[in-house]
Amino acid sequence: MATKSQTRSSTRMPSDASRRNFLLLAGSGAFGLALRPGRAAALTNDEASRLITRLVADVNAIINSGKPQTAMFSDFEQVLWRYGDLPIIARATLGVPWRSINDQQRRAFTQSYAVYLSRKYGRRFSQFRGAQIQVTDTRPVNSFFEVSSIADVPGEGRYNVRWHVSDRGGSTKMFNIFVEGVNLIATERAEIGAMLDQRGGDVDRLIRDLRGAG
Amino acid sequence: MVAVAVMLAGCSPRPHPAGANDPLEGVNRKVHALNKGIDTALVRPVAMGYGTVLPEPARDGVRNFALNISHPRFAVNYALQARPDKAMDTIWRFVLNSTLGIGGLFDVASRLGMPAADETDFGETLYRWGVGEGPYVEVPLFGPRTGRAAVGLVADVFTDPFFWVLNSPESYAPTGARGLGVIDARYRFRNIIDDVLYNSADSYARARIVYLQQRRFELGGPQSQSYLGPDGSPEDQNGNEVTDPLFDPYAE
Repeated sequence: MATKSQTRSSTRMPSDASRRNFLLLAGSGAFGLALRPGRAAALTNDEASRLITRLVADVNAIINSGKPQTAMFSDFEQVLWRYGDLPIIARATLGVPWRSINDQQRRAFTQSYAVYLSRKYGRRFSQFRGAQIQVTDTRPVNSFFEVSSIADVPGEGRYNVRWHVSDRGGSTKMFNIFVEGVNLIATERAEIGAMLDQRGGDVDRLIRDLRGAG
Repeated sequence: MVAVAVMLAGCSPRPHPAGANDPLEGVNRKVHALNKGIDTALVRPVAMGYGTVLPEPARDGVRNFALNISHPRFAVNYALQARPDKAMDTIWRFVLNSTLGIGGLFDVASRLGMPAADETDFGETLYRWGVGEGPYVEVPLFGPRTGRAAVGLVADVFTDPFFWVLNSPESYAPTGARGLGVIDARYRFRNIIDDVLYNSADSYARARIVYLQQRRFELGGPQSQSYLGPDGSPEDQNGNEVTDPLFDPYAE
């Protein structure tokens, strides 16, 4: 099983892929990647890659559905729950305060955070109409998989988008997204941390307010 | 210049690969407020006007022109980085686009399938010479930079061959073109930039984390390449910013 997880199913990069992508891939090879075989035994490259391909197809369907914005938000929220490991993403985003809240608060935070994310990023969907996302490479890293893709957004350009996928939450899910190196958890962590500070560290107020924010 | 950069990098602690090294936060926040004010009052309105008045092909021309005129500077930096292939690609692209592309208005080179000439700067040159990142700084008018990139910003005045060959007032043309490029970029990325500046709880912290991640990714820096595992990564529940690209939230 361990060896299976190491086999790469890399597809060719588009010929005009940016230097950044190329450097990243070349660089990762040169540094020999601290692969830890055995730890990513259950999940395979193909499964990780398929998850992201399906996720992208579902998001594209929402963007091009022509539905009113509020309907798109709730559709997107469902996609987040289906493909994303929201409890893990929520825990990593909240950070330290997660430790001192009870299970009920944790569940409530996770739910509010999902609403917040779907509104915040769903509002940008009109900008991505006609965008193409192509999965270019998948490889095991440490204990999870990294799926690389190129997003071609009309009028803006090409973005390197990477997805981190793991099955350690019980089923195969995406737990972080990187757009041109900028990752969701780190960025939202700064944001949520600032919101919590503004509320004097009151997590319950944050949970309430998150539903209306974003 | 190099000495300054080395000093700058040397006298500040080597930044934790995962977080922001920001000892100047107090001053930086003041500069951020200034920059944000300039964006609100001037840059954003001008950029929105520019985007509304000019159709996309015209804006492409502006962007191509601004980018093309920076190519000699890129080429010098590539040479300093000991990357002759990139330097030659950049020079060819400049020659082609300046002539067939009518002074750089059209990106003929890309249509002919020439290799993409990526932007570079003296900050990247310093990075390749082994200079450390330095503290995070917000530069008036220019915005977020690493200390190293801020030094590069100044040095790039002198890496630009136009600076040496042109006399005033022609010597201002590249700077003017870069200004236009900034307006074009402010319009093109208006959603992302507005989000950072105006739709976040702490625009300073958000600009900092977005910039640092993006810059390190651009340079393929230690972060992007050394692939720290969960042990070397920030402890996500201890208040550190998680920017390790291979951060593993399950490892707890």
